[in-house]
Amino acid sequence: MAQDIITIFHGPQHPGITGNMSVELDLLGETIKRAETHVGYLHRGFEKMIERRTVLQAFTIVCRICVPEPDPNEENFARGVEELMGLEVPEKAKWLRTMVLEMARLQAQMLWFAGQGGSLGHYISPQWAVADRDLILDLFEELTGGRVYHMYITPGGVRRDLPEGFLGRLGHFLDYLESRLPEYDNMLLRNPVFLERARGVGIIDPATAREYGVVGPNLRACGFMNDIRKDEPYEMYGEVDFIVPTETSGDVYGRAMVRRAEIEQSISILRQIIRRMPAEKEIMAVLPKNHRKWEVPKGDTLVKTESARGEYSYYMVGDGTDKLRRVQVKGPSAVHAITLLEEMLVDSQLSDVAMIMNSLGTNPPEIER
Amino acid sequence: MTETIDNLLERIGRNFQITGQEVKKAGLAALHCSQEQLHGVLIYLKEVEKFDTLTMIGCADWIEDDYFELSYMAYSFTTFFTVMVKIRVSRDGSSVPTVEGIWRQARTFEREIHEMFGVDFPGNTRLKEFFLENWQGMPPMKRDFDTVQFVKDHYKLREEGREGACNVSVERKKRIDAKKLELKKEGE
Amino acid sequence: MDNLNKKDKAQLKELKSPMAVVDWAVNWFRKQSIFMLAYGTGCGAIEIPPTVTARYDAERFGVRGAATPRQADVIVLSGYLAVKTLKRVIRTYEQMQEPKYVIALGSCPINGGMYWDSYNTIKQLDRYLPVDVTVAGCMPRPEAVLEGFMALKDKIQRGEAEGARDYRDNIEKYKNNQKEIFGDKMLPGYTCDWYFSDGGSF
Repeated sequence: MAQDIITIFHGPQHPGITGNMSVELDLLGETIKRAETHVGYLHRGFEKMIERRTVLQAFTIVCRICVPEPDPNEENFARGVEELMGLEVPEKAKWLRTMVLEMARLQAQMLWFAGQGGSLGHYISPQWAVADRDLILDLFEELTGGRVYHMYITPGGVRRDLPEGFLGRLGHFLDYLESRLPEYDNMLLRNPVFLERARGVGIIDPATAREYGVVGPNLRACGFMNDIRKDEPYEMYGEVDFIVPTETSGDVYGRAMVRRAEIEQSISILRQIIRRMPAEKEIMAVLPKNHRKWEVPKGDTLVKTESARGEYSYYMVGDGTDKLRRVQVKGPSAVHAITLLEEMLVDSQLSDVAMIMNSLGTNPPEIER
Repeated sequence: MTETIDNLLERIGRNFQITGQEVKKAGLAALHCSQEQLHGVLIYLKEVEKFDTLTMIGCADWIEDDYFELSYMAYSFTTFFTVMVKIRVSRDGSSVPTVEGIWRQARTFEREIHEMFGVDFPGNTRLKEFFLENWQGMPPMKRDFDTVQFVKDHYKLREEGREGACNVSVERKKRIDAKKLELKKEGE
Repeated sequence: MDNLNKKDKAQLKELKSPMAVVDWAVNWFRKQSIFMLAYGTGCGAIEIPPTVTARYDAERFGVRGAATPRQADVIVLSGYLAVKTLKRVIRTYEQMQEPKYVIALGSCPINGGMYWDSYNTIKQLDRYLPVDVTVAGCMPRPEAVLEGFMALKDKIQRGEAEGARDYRDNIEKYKNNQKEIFGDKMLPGYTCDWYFSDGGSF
């Protein structure tokens, strides 16, 4: 007997969707036969707004491009401006930036963990992971004054020096988090239900990964050892020791294990930073005299940062005035969540959509800005 | 011999007509070529020089000189070089054949540039509405699109709200004042 | 009576007629369990998980998440609204059962916030949906979100949270405002037909 195909919208108002986007699914029974992503629910026209603002005004809005992990955006923007204007950043500021980026990575991984559990209906993991993530946000609040948006990494350096005793508190938190990790493993990553559902689902094979330009943990779960932090070291990543964890299965489980290993690497990087943080006070480059009007010379550049979900690229064009001609942003989800997701979802089950989207690290605001 | 970005540029220069080239920083070079040469250069980069992936397609609007500059950024996972291949297209009604056949993710990037700048990409299979819904008029990312004027024409900026709506900070102050009063009374 | 706190008891004493007591009791029950539909329209969505999970634990105030609009009492709009989102939000709101309330988080739904010059976000949510409580901030912290829920509970108890009735009474004004944005691509009428006294005319 022939079955009818029905079309449903998964999102934008749906508990199982990451952020505000929707996936149109053609279903035959529970099996997906065709998928199409619809984005644009979060489009604000950042690039237009940056065109109208001076460099320092624009810097306060770039962090809003990605909500779960704003710091790579700030760092990318700051580094791009520095490259265009030829500013020399002091070493202390570079160490502080690296520290903030790693803390941001850590909290983004915790948020991913919460989402991964939540998308399976395993509601203990959001309860634990979000609460532990809040401890990092407290440290951020102490350092920068902001819980989620920090506006800390300014073009030319960082905004504030370390508060007294901050590194000690950070170290204390890292010890706590490390002691929690085995519990997280037992709760979700070694949970038979999770293993059963995550293994062999949402597979990206290595050839597809290269062809589509997959980045970040999703690429590393396919067996490639590519990480911008290692390949083109920026800030102080050339100075610290860490390994790039990889898996070969390319499925949801593989991506989960890569991210789990990255949490450990972040902890190790942060410990090295605590040990090696210089004592000097200089945290700002020599800035142009007129603070209100930085003239960016004509020229363009491409800067990249490795965020927790993959590589961010900023294409920045200066035109000799105090405003940037163009800042174009490519977030990792622009690759993962449109063409790739549409093809991955075909022939998978309706109940796995939320899990697959979460394991790809889908985050709509960075697709549409 | 170790591979340098200068060697790479020289090899490309031997095979194609390059109108300009520069090394921006370590591992990042820019090439200028004509629109006819674009596909040749990109295929050469992908197939011969093993530039596996397209990082993004940048687009900048140079309204003074009346052209868009499209930058195709190819990235190699073996040498970690990025090459920006730049072409200039006219600002109105220009069309560039798609590079979707070379790198699949170009489909999304072209779709975005089509919507934001109005550049046509013949051959792209998914060139339809992307971020905006029911958009009429000039593509918004063009320099001559005046966003402030658009906001003034289409939206009403803040005016007096509904009477019943309450502001949390006001409510909180009321609550705290009431609590203080209560404590004071208890004290007496 | 043991579950009532001092404030409730004081309020109850002041009521004169039996009907007022019934109204008061209905409102009292309503405010005790608020099912929220967190529509993550913007940045504020990131502060909803901390609000409802272990650390801030909104459930101790009787606030918890609902999966679908039909089971929800309050829709939380967390941030700026792009035009494309606004259409879906209105439709979601019209699907909710009364009594229903709207909480808007962040500065952007109040006056456009930092996106005041963006061509794709609306500047004032009040014009299109009846907002009961606004929580300012970019974005509001979990404490502020909880404060917003407390303000809403107070309003419910006082019987003043009547956004839904306002929407029903002034449906034509709201629909005309919505039409300014959507033009001829208005959303389908069947989610709001019953608001019109003549059986649906929009």
